[in-house]
Amino acid sequence: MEDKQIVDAVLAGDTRQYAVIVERYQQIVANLTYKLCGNRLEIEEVTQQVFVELYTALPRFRFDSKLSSYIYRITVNVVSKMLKKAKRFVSTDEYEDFPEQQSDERNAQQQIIYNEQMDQLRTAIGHLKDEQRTALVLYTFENFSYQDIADVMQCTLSKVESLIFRAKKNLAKEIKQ
Amino acid sequence: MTLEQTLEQLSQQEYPRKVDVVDRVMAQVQQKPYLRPVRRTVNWRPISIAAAAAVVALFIVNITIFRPSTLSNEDMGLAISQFNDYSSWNTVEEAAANPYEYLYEDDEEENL
Repeated sequence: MEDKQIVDAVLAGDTRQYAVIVERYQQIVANLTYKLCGNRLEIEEVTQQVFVELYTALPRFRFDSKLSSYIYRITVNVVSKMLKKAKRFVSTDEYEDFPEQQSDERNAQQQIIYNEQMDQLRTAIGHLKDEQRTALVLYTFENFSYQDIADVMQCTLSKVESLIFRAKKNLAKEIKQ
Repeated sequence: MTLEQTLEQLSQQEYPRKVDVVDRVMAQVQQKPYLRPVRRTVNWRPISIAAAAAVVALFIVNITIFRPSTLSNEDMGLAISQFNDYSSWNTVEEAAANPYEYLYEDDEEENL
């Protein structure tokens, strides 16, 4: 069933259909949220909030863009709002240890270096300004085009280019320090 | 490892847990009646634009047709009195029958 059909059904009064939308996009929202704020304690809370906000915004959504882009936009706004509220940046200890892939192929020393690099990068991403972090995460982690990012962030293409450029520059600077 | 490579590595990592917020979202959405969306039947945007245009048009017509007079109070009084004079003529025929009365009425008054 297409997103549009489901949304139309929900707006026609069959609100139970909304569960299909939540089921379809919840993991995507969680992954994006995780990359944006990294706080695993808030991931489900943020995901829930995103879908509640989407529900209230559905009557205004006219399918000018994809529903997924609209959901990304709401996610970015909700994460940004919650980060500001909590005044908390990403720190390494807020991340869950990932199950390391190919750990048997790396020796212990390489593994330590690798983990340190990842932690350093997460921290640096957490220190970026909201807009820079959002643009960088969507471009690098979600493989969005500049145009898609401009749609999600509701800004110009040139601003997206500038944000990503500055984000990378700031990351490189912080990692070198 | 370069920055690009490190970013690429990080991009491969996803939230390690399976998220399931369906029940929580549905409970929250259905418990709050004010969150229930209203079925969209009317697109108000073109209607509101047309209404705004109509208001502007009416305003322009209003100030064009009913613009305030530039006559002073004295001029306005004179105009009204002249109108009253001419309106005292009963008929065109009456005026035609006594042309001199009307033509020289003012002169006679002046001569007196």
